[in-house]
Amino acid sequence: MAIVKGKRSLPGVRLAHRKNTQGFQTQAMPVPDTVKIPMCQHMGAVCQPLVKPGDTVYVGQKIGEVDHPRCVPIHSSVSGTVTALEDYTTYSGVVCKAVVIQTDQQQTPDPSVAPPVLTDKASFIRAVYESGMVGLGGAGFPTHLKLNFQEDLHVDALIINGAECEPYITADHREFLEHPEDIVEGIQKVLHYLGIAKAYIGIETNKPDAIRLMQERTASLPDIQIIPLCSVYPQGAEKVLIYAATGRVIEAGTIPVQAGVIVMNVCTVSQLNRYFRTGMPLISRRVTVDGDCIGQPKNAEVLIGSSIQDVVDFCGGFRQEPKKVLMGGPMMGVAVYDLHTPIIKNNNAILCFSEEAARIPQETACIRCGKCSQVCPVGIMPRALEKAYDAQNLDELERLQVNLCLNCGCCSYICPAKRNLAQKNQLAKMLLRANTKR
Amino acid sequence: MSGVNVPAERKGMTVILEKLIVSASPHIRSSNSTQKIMLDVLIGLSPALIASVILFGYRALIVTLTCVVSSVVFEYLCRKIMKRDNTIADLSAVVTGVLLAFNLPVTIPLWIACIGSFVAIVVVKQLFGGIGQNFANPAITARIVLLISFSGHMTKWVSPFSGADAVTSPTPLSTGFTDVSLLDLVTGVHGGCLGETCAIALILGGVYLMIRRVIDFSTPLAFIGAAFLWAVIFDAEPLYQLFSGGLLLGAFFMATDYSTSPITRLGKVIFGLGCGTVTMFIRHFGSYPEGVSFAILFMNILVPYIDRATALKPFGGKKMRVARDIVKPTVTLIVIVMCISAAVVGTYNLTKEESTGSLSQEVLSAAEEMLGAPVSEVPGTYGETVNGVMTSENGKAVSVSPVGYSGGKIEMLVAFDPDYVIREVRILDISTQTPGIGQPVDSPEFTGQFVGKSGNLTAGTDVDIVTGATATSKGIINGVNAASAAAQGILDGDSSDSSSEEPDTTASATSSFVEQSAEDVLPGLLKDGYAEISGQFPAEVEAAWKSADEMLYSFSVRTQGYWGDIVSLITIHADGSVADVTVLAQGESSAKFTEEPLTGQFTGKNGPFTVGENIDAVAGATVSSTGLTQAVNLALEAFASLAE
Ligand code: SF4
Ligand code: SF4
Repeated sequence: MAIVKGKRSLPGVRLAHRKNTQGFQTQAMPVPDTVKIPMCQHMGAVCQPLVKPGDTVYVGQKIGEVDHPRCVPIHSSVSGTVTALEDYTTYSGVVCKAVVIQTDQQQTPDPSVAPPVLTDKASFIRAVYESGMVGLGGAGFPTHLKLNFQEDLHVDALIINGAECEPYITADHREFLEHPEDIVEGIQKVLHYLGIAKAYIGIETNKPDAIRLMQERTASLPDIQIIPLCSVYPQGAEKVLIYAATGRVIEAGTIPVQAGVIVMNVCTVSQLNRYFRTGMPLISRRVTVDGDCIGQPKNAEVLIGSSIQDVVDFCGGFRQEPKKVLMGGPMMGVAVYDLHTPIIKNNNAILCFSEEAARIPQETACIRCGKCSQVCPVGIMPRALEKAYDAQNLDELERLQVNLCLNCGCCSYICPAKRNLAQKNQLAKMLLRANTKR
Repeated sequence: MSGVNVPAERKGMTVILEKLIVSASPHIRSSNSTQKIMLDVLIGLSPALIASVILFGYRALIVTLTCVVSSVVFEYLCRKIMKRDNTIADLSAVVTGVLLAFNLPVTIPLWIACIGSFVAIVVVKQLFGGIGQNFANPAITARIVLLISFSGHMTKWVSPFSGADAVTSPTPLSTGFTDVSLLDLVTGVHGGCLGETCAIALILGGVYLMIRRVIDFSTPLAFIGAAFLWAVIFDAEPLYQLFSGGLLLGAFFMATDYSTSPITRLGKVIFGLGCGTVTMFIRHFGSYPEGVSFAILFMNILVPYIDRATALKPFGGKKMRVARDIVKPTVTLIVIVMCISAAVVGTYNLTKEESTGSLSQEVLSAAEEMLGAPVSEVPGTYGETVNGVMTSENGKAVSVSPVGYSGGKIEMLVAFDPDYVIREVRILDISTQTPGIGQPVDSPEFTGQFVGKSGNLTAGTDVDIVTGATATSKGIINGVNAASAAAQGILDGDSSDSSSEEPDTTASATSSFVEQSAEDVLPGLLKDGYAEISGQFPAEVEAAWKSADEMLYSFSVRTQGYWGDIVSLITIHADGSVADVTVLAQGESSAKFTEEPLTGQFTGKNGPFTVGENIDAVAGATVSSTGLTQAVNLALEAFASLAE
């Protein structure tokens, strides 16, 4: 198959890649003493715990579900005893329960764990639901909802997101290198059961080994094409990736499927295939652990519900006192305030930074250099938006189309005056939402 | 939700908890900063600064330092007074200072440079809210303000390598590139503002900034491209146009100023095209040879419209509302540009016709104004002093540049009626001359004296000289005489050399005056007829007359004054007392001694007279007073010889 160089690219910024862990084979983290599994690990309905304190649970046992179309079931990642149902607030502010399990270190699989029987689209979607799968790239959107598109939408392209444009993170990169078969098989199953003609695997050119390996593995498969992408952040953002891979533009207020495209993270599709093979739902995931405070940066296979502290301990502990701990990458990740925060399904990295690395410089006056607009992938005007937000001018915010903002952070990153532009946009979107609801 | 601490400190959008910092993403920032950008601009400006020091000497550095220091001080004080945080560390004031200095002639008095900094930093920048908020380019606005307020100082160009004893040299634009080679233009060996002459250095700095991505290539390219295109259309030496005046400095460093140029690339292109076009229109049609500053300032004002009109359609977003956001500003923009161009072209057509001589547009339009009719240049060569002759239905005008004080040239225009009577004398550039005490030589009081006169004019008789500016005054008189000769077709190539300060240069003129007109004065004094007499008079006594009743005797005496001969008519009563002293001609710096304070002292008295005893010298004209006193004594001597 011919190599198609990604020619199209939306604007963005070139970041220092810092992919320190790209050569590190994934190491399975030992089972921690306790895990805390929140009942909300996806964008959608909060699950009800199916267990109560004192219950014995097994690996892969469904412990959370709710009767709601936007629900994704949650499974136990360990075997042991439920000790408590705690109140838990996710970092996006959702209040839910969290199941605390004292592990027995046996990791006894639940008897219900068995490969699903796939016959048609309905059984396929059902299996995806049962696997507890969400988008593993970061957003945590329920996978079965994404794949269960209406028949009348002519979806002809499946894009596999392997851009991994955030610095430090190598979780997707390792997936390519360690599980190429699962990726290819997973793609083929999705194409088959959903009737999609073609799959494109987008990989940034800073991962030449992954591109080469996947090209070899798909050489004989005409329906899978590798698309090398420019290493420009945010190449992995959905709209940006779709444009780079297919040239299609996702209009404001529409979703990719309306443009005939579905985007899945590479880990998602690979993990799905493992579920189809083994029947073990999503109970663990690869997490890149890095940052200048981490003793031994690693790619760790982490059981869902392990605390950040447990993961850090596995990675050689702290080399120096961390001042900022991120779940996710430095551009879009979330800063956590508590090292007991459990790892959930869509966490792809834990980055711990010292005071020096975490320092955000002082804001100064905008010099009107225009760089924020130049780097904005969606071409809105962060500088004008900031002014409009400061003036609480809703009409202007709407006119400048703040809702298109991807929150990618390029504008804040590039601004020589260190303006908090992306942050203001988040607030502006919230302001608009609050005002349209009323 | 365990372990949630009360925020210990709230700083902007960052909440610092007891242990971990929680802030919104992104968590990393690029290493660029305002300070670094400004530092890059300074690096980009440094080749031109070095070139200016090589070309114009160390004073270029002094001017630049003055501008920089005063800009920084003004910025500091202004922020302090306005109770805003101190921003001098961002180096933007330094950049403004350097750019301002680059827009000044090297001869600029330093206090004017400081006024420029004040205008740039306080008025244009800080009063509009500081960096990023000003709508007009500070350095450009300051240049224009200074140009209007101190046009003499601001257009006092010196030629490179002339060091401290600067020799004035016009800019290539004002001479129409007649005396400059392309190589000189590119390397900066020509007159102009201190930072704008060396094209190579400016291009070097500009390319550096483009490589560093501090500026986008689109603005300079569009600016230079448009200027080139118009130069081709106007057939006005395109390459020369590009490398002269402030075009490159403007294109690379002023039109790319963030605060005052559009954000989007399309906007930058429009902005650059506009700057280039307006520049060339001003150069071609306007009376002012350099148009870059005005062009950039003008385009600065349009930036908000350009920004609106060129707002990008967001990716996947709705199109901007066309009527309000694009059509209106675009139409407004076009209308404004057309109105301005029409006004420029209109004024041009009202005042001027196409001319292809060696005289600059500035001179031609001034001549047209003086004559009140379109002029055309009369081809020919007229020697050193006369630059050219223009003719019109109302008479002729002659451009002359006589030598004034200490060898500096005075640029002036003399207009004549068809019968060669002087219509107006206008001084165009007198910046080479030190100003006189009191009345300046370019004041109407002085130049107005020429009006209505004709022929060869003489200092002291036809035209009174300005106190303290004798050489300059004489230079102007020489210029008028040369112009008069040139206008009448008497080609007098060397008339400019007659400005030397030998005391007897006007001797022949004065004596002929006495011969011709002394008798015109006599009848008033010797009312009832007179007769010329002769006798054994001192050599200085050139002629003598007595009245019919032999009661009055008049003597024409030539004595030496400070600058030249004094020819006086001394009239004596029969009893030997002085009746009247009239100065007929003199070349003195002060006209005062010819009048009452001095001449009145003699009347009714008997001699001999001695300055300091019975005669008080006129202040500032001691030698002349002595010369006149001597004349009176000589007349008395001659009278005494008659009695013998
Ligand atoms: S405005 Fe939004 S989309 Fe644009 S660069 Fe900033 S964060 Fe990214
Ligand atoms: S990048 Fe920063 S300084 Fe530049 S225009 Fe945007 S907000 Fe202003």
